[in-house]
Amino acid sequence: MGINFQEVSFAYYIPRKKRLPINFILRDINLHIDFSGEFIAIVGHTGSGKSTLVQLMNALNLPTTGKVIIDDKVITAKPKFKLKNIRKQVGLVFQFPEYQIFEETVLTDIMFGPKNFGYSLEEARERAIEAAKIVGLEEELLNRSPFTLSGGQMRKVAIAGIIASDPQVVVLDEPTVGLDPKTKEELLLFLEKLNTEKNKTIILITHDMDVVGRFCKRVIVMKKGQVVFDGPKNELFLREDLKETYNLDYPEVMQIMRNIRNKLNIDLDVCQYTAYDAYCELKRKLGDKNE
Amino acid sequence: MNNKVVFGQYFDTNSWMHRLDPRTKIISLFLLMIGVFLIKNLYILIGFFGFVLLLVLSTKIPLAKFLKSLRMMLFLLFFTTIFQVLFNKVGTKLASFSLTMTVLTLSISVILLISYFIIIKFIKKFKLLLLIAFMLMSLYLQSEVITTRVLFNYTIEVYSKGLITAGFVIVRIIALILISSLLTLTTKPTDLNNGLESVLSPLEKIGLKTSILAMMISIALRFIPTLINEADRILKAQASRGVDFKEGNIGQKVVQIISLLIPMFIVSFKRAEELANAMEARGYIPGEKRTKLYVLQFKTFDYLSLGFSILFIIFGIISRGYFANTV
Repeated sequence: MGINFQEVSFAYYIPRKKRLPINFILRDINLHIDFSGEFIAIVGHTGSGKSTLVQLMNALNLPTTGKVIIDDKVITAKPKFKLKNIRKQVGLVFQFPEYQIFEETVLTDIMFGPKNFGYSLEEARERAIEAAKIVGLEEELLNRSPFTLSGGQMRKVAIAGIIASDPQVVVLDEPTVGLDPKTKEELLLFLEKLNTEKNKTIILITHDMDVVGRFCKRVIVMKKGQVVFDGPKNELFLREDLKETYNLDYPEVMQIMRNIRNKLNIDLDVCQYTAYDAYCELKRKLGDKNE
Repeated sequence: MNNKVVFGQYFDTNSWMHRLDPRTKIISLFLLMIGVFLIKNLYILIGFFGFVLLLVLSTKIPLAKFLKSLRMMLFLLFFTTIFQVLFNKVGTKLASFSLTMTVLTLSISVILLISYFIIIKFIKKFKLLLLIAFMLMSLYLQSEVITTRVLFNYTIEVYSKGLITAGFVIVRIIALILISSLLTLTTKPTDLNNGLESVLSPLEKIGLKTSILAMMISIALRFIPTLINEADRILKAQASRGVDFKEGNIGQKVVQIISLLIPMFIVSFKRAEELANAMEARGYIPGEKRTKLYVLQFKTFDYLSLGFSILFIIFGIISRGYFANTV
């Protein structure tokens, strides 16, 4: 049960003349993503193919060569079955998802997804109300027009619209861009809750290493259309050549910990991602020394 | 989405016509179009058509590009010809066919029609040719097969005038299409817009703000690829909410289109507002006098072309008096 990429390459456009080179956006991707409990960050430079990769995960893009296997359904360049059910299992939240809102009230817009995936009106309503609760939308907002809401609230509505159809995997393309710090924190916290309490797999595209450090368990690094790293976040952040090879930064707290370690030349566990954890670790190590 | 969304038909071969000033091309080709309607003599028209063909060849643009725009008018050409030939009853009678519709031929014709629609499901090309072939088959049956159960008789008569008018219409429409394609194929949309602005600038005197109009057109052109990308994104976003744009009954189709249209409206309005603010922030005042980065300039060849076009029009007007009208 999960998403499997087998030797997947992808190009938006295949030239009609055979001798012209194909401009591949993605090359030879091999991945396995479990349906339950994973929290993955996809990082990489602009134009490295992150967004294209996640669109392959719910069959919005079809692989040019190779196979994507989602829950034992094999997707190739020309699939012979309906792709709708795959989109129910893997929900994809686009960048700036507030632009996909169109219904008259918040509730009907959240219900739109579940209704399309074949739930009855009653069920769809129940799911929508539940999804609104998960993302932290107040109940009195549900009957208002979505276009009267603030940007942050609109984004919550859009994300609720995906969560409402109860996908096993929720993929979010830069969900925190342009949000105020409070909404951003709320958003990440309910994603974490979704991950731990409902055992959903969450996949985030992000540029924010602090988010990667605090919330994610596994990191996939993309570079020029290829997966160059795939593994637990500690393994990635313990590498000394992060900047040179992958062009990535360390999370802020970790950077401070690294500096302290290098300055004082002591044996510190630098894999701390929140200020509080870092404080505890420092107290433990330095406290020992002082005594 | 690939970023190579090409709008307009511009095809660069850097021929002499590409290098002409857009204003020259707009004025000259407009004059040529008027010329097409001035000419009433078949031989002069054919001569003129040869001249247009020479122009087309001199641009070195592949003929397929021109044929593409001709193909869109094929149905129009076909039907005007049919109507002219069948219903114009002036001049000498050239031929007449008497046709008889019987129960047998009617049923065969209906079968032919049905089989035509089945065949074009599989063969996508030469649809018009097939249609003509099937119609001729049906007509042939009606002229030859005469059984007892006659429904009605009718005759098709072809007159000389009808044929000539049909020829005229065909040559005129083709010439018009070729001339307008010449303009769009050899001029970039932005140049075309600049040229139009300049050509229409005398209208500013009577209060028509052509500079604003030109700015609107160039902004519209600029935003076509952007909006296509945006539409693609929203399409995908709604698809991941379970919208299946490929199927659904009429009710569902309406919802699908609404789910695409409303976000598109919102995005376009938002973009318009942002652009308006950005333009004002950089000092754009609608209707105010503006300078241009690339100032259009006439060269010798432009004057030659313009002079030739004007001579052509004068010739067209004079020729009406001296040569017999064939239409």
